Amino acid sequence: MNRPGCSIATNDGAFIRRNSNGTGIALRYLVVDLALLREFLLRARNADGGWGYQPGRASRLEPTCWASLALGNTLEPRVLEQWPCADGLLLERDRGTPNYGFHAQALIALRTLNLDHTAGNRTLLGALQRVKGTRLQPSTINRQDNSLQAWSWIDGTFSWVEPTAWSLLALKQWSTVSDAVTDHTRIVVAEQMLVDRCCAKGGWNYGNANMLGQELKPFVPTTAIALMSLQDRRTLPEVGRSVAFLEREATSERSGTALALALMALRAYRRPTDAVRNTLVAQLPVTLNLGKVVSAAMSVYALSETDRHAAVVL
Amino acid sequence: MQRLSSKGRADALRLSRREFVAALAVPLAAAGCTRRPYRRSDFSLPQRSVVELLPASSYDVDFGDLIGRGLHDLGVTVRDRRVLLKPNMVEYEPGTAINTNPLVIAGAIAAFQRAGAAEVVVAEGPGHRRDTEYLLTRTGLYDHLCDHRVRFLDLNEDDVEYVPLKSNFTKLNQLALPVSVLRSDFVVSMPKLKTHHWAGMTCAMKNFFGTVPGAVYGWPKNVLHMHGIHNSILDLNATIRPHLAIVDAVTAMEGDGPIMGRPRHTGFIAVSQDVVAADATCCRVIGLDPERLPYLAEAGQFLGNIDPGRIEQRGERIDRYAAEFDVVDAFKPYRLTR
Repeated sequence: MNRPGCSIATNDGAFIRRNSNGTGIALRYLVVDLALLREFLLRARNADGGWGYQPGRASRLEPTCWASLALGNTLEPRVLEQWPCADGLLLERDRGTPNYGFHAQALIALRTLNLDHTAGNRTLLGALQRVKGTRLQPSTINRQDNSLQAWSWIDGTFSWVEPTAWSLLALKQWSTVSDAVTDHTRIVVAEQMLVDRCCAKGGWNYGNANMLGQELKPFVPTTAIALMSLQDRRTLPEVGRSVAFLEREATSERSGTALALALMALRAYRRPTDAVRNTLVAQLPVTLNLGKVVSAAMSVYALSETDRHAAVVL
Repeated sequence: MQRLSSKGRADALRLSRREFVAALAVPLAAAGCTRRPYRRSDFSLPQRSVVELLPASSYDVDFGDLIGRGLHDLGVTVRDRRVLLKPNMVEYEPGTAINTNPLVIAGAIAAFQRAGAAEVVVAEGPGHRRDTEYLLTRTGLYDHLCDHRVRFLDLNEDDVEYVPLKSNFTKLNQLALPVSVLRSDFVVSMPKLKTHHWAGMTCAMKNFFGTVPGAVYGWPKNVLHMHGIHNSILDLNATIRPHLAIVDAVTAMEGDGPIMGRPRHTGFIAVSQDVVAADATCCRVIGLDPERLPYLAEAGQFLGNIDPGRIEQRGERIDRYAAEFDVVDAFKPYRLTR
């Protein structure tokens, strides 16, 4: 592994340069060349039209969703439209099994990019609404409502924050499409689950907020995703605390994914984003050096000035 | 961070922590009365296993030299082989002992490169934090990888193949596993020695939970928990058959591990070509009885040695490091009687 980005982030290199913000104030504003990021994604594309998690890896649903969002719907073939599917659920990879979190991301991408899956977008939406996390009996090992069945990652397991939040966001977006049928009870349960799992001081861990008597700490990426799915519930105290957490901690987790998600979430809540944006731009050389396709694609999408970020805004 | 009970356990009554841990061991206890879920002809216990304890009073020592010495003493040869180092990288919290120290990983990289490995890669698929870029940069491992020009493979996102399990304690029959692990010539488990609130201890064997791809099974790999932690540890080790363990026990973790526990200075690196013997030795060091830990007791039947009479201790004596680590209440009955 080399260090292609270490000098780039701090000088006037081709990839990133530092400019004045144009107002005459001493604030430095990092400028990123999105064309180069898009070039990375285009080069990482597989012959089948999809993307793997790293260049040269087999096509998978999650990186294909994000790369498609980053590059727009002008690319042929429109791989998401033909993505392998079984019983209305998109497979995580060819001949693989469904992953509900990624299936929800695909529904978001299909709607945003105005694409139609061969099985029918409404079929995919119906399938997402039929699946739910396993119901568990009450337990003394943590403080939470185990009866809430939102969304798990895969079949036969418990509900988690991330797949639940992506599914909730997908349902809310599709509920505005005229002939799409969304089950409001699933939206209600998902919101209840997220509120139930919110950490004591705001934000979300991956699953529960406490374990074996200890309060767990929230993370930036999960908090950002959960907040994006709760944009229309801003008066909830849990949302308020979580926005405050994200504003405070957005730049504390240095990775393309965490920073891009934080940028999208803060923008959706109309909060200041300069700091997280600059931190993301400075982090991108590391992201690219690690060959992270999802992170790079999320970053392109989050940094794009021309898109209204319809995928993550309600 | 959530750890879950199984479907079977879900049918049970309201569970306490002690009941929960006890439930984890039930399938193995039952297995003890029946035919073992593996072909005996596929496995043979080594006549004797060597475990070397190398002193490291702090992280200031030269781990390249130290681990190189261990490889030499054990007669490990990796010339022209592709070596995959599997550290334990779970979460970052300043001042804690959650992850394999990057200096130990860097030392192992240097030692294997000097030993003539064709390639050394570092690979991990955290079951807790999905974001490996964050973990790599925050722990400082990223800089070491750059310095040594070594690739990092995120095992949660690697290409996968379904492989039949060589033992079937979980009854899963097969698992999707990363091709980078399956195609490596030499797989090294590099755990941090820690107590574990569900398994008792996490060391070289439990470390292979990090090879199960999250993109396929989700996070935190609930499938493994639902089919029994002890069962999953056995099936993964029986199937992957790691070649070497290098245990970071310079500063270990006690109490509510693997994340919320407290650092405890221990002062050694353990090296062994028998990961079961490495775990059994570390288990004794921290004051737990390997004969009582379900996964280790069963592993001692077919995967490696836990009988001290079949483990040749080299380097420092266990007595030098022996301690009684704090464990959660459920594992206090598993304490070694010294």
